[in-house]
Amino acid sequence: MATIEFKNVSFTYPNCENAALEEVSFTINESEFVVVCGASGSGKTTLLRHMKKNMVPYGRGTGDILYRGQDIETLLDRMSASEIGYVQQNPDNQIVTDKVWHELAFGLESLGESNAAIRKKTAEMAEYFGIANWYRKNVWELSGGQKQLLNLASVMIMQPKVLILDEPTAQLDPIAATQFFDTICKINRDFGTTIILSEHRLEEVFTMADKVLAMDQGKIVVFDTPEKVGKFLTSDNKSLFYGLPSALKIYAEVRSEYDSDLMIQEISNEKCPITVKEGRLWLDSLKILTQSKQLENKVASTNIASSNITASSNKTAIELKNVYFRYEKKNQDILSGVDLCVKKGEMLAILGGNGAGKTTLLKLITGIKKPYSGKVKAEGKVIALPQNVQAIFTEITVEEELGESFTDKSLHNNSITKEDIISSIEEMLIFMELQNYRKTNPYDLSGGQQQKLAIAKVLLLQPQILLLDEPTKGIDPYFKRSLAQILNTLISKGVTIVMVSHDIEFCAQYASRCAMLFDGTIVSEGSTRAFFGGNSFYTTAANRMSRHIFKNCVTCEQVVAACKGVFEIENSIENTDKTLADIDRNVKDTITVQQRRQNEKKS
Amino acid sequence: MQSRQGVIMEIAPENITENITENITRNIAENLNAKESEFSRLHPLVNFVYLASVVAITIIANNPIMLCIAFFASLLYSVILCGIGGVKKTLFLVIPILVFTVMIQPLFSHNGNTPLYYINNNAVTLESVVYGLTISVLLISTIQWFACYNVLITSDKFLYLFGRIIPSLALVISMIFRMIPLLRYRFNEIDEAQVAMGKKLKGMGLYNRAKVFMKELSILIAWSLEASIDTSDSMEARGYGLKGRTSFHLFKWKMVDCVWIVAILLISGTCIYGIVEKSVQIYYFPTFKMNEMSIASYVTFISFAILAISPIIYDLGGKLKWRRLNSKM
Repeated sequence: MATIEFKNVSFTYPNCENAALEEVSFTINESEFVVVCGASGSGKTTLLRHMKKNMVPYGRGTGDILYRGQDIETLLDRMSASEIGYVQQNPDNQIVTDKVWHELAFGLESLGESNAAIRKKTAEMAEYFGIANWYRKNVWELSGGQKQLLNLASVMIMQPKVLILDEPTAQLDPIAATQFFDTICKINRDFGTTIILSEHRLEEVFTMADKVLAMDQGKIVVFDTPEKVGKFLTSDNKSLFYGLPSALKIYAEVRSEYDSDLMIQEISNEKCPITVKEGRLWLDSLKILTQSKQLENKVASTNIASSNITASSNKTAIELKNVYFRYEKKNQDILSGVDLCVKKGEMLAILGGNGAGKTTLLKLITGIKKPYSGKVKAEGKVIALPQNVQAIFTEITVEEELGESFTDKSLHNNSITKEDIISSIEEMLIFMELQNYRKTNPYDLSGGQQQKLAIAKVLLLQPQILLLDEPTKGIDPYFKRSLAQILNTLISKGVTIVMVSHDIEFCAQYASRCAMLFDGTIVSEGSTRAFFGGNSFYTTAANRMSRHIFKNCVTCEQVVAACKGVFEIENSIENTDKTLADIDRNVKDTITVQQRRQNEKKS
Repeated sequence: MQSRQGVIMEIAPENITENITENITRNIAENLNAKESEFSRLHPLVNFVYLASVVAITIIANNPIMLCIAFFASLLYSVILCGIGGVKKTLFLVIPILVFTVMIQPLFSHNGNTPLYYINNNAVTLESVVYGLTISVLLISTIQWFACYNVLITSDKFLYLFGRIIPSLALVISMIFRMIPLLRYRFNEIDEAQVAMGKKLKGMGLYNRAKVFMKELSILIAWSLEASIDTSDSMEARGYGLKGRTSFHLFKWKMVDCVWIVAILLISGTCIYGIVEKSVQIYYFPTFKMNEMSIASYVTFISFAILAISPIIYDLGGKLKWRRLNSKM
C-alpha cells in the first residue's frame, strides 16, 4: 500500500490568485527516500505541509491526501503526531525547551508515556544519534548542526513511519549538512522510514534518493529515479538545471552542444553520471574516444579566459596588517597575525571552516570589534550585512523598508528631496526585481528575496565597501545566479565586496580572488582559479571531477569549455597540422561563443 | 533566586565562534563540578525538604543559641557551595540589613528595662538592641540558606518539584529559560547589524540612541514573533495538546534518599517539638529571661546542630571516600 498518496490536490493561499499547488497527484511507497526539488516559491513547502495534519496551511484546497489509505484530515491526533514526523528549516526556532534531554523527551511527554519508558527511549536515541555527550547540556550551547540533529532526534524518538524534512540543512554549513544527510540516509536504511526531503543542495542528496520529485510553479514537472530526472531536467534548460550535481551539468552541456556528433551519441547511450566518481569515469571514456591524449595537457594548461572579474584598479580598499584579536583576555587568539589586502573593485571571498574566525574578521573590518594588536584600515564607507537578514527589517512593507534607509538624514546629504528618495527607491526595486512585492511584508518574502531586499536596503546607504556574511545561505541556485549578477553590477560600479562563505561552488564561480582562513591566519590566497586549482580536497566538484585531465578547471563552464576545446582539436586534426597557437584561438573562440550564449540566456 | 541561571546566560550567546563556545562550555562544566556536591546529587525532594525545614526552624526558633548554630552552619555551607566570591556578593546585601535592623529596632521599640541612652526623651534599651541583633542574624542566616538553595535547587530540580502541581507550568518555565538566552543572542545580532550599517555611531545623542534602541527592540519583537510560529508548529507536530501529558525528569528515588528524608523529618520533628514546647523559649522584654535549661532543650540544640551540618559532613564524607578510592586505584 502506498504510504502517502496525493489525488488531484490543488491549493490556493488566501488573498492569492495563483494556486500554490495545482492538480498534484503522486504516490510515495513504503520506505522510499524521496527528494523534492524546485526553486523557492515553487510550492515545495506547501506540498510537504499538506502531508501532516496540523501543518496544513490555511487556504482553499481540493483533492484527497491519503496516508496508508486513510484521509489525512481524519487521522487521529495521536497517530498523526507519532507516525508522521516533521523537521523544519530553522534549527533555533523548533527547539522548545532549555535542556537537550527535555527536548528529546518532549514528544513522548505529549504522548503521555511513563517516566521509565521515556528514560529508556531517550537513552536509546541519544546513543544512536551520538547525543550522549551533550545530553545534559543547555540547548543554546549547541552548534547549528547539533541543534538540527537534536530536532531530528526529538522527532525520531516517537518512531515515525514517515519523516518529512523541509530544507533541513539550509542554515547549516556544508560539513554539518553532510553529516545530517548521512544520518537521514542511515535512518532510511536502518529503519525503513519513508523519507521526504526538500532540498536545494542536490549535489549530495541526488545520489541518496530513490526518487526525485521536481516542482515548478505548483506543478510536478517530473517524478522518477534520480537518473531519469537528471536526464529530463538537462534536456531543457529550466531554472532547476542550476541546482543539479556538477557531473550532470557538465555532461548535459557537453552533450547538448554536440548531440549530432556520432561519437557523443555513443556516449549518450550510457548512464548519465551523477557523482564525482561517475563523472571522472565518463570524462575518461570521453578522452579515449577523442584519442587526443597527447594534446590534453597542452590544451588544458592554456589559459582559458576567466569569466570572473578581476580587480580593475590597483588602489587598496581594505588593508589588515598583522592583526591579532581575541574576545576575552583568558581566551585563545581567534585571529593571530592576519595580513590581508583587498583591492578596490574586486570581490574577495574568504573561506574557512566553522570557528576559523571569518565572521570575526568581518567585524574587525566594520569596526564593531577592535584588534588588540595590528592595524585595520578601510578606505571609504564600510557597510556589512548580517548573516540573519531579519536582523535589519523594521517596516511592514518592502517599500517602507527601503525608505527606512533615508530616515537618518546625517548619513546622506541634507539636501536630498522627497522626489529623489522615491525615485531611488523605485530604481532599487527594479534593479532587485522586487517591483511586484512592494507591498509585501519583508517576512513573507522567500529567503532569496529577503537577501535581495537586505542588500537593496544597504545599497541605499551608498557603501564603497560591502561586507557579506554567508550571502548564499538558504538560497536556491536560481537566486544565487541573480544574486551574483547583482554583485557583478555593483563591482562594475566600483564597489568593493568582501564575502565570507562556506559555499565553495559560489565562490569559485563568481569571486575574483579567494583567501582561506585557518587557525587564525590566512594560509592561502590567490586568484580564484589558481586557488581552487591548487587545492585537492577543498575545491569544487567540477574540479575534483576533471583535475586528472584538465588543469585549473574550477567551474562547470570551464570544464565544458575545455571538453569542447578537445573536440575542436579532434575535428581539426584531420584537416591540417595546426599549430598550437591556432588551437588556443579555437578554444578561446568557443568560449566567447559560449559566453555570448550565456549572456543571451541571462537577458 | 535565579542568579545562577543568570550567570550561565551572561556567558551565553554562542555561535560567535566555536572557539569561544568551547571555552564557555568548559567554564560551565567546571563550575558545575565545583558546585555539584554529594548532597546535591540526592533526590530533589530531599534537598528541598532539608532546606525547608532548616529555614523554618531558623525562623521560628528565635533563640540566640539556635540562631548561632544556624548562622555558622549556613555560612559554612554557602562558602562551600558558592565559594568565597559568592559569599562576598551576598555580604553586600547582608551588611546593610544588619546595620538597618540593629539601628532601627531600638529607635521604634522602647520596651526593656535597661536604658542605654536617651534620644528625644525616648530610651534606647539594651533589650531592644539585642533583639534587633537577633532579628538581623535571623535574616542573614535565612539569606545564606537561600544562597545554598540557589545552588542546590537548579532549574530542572525546581521544575521537577513544582511541575507536578501545575504540569503546564513546568513547560512554561522551561520555555522561558530557553527564550532568555535566545533573545539575548538575537538582540546582540540586531545591535551589531545596526552598528555595521552605520546607524549607530559613537557619540550619538541620548535621543538618537533611544531611537535606535526602540528600533532594535521592535526588530527583536517582530523577529521573535515570527520565529514563535515555527516553535508552535514544532510543538504541535510533536503532539502538544494531546490529553494526558506527562512530565519527564532525570531523577531517581534511591534507598539513600529514603534514609535521608526519614532522618531529616525525625530530627526536624524533634526540633520543632522542642520549640513548640517552649524548651528553648527566650523572652527579651521586659528583661532577658530564658526558660531553665532542661534535657529537652539540650536535645533540641543538638538535634538542630546535627540537622544543620549534616549535608556538610555528608559532602566531606563523599570527598574523603573519593580520595580513598583514588589512592587505591
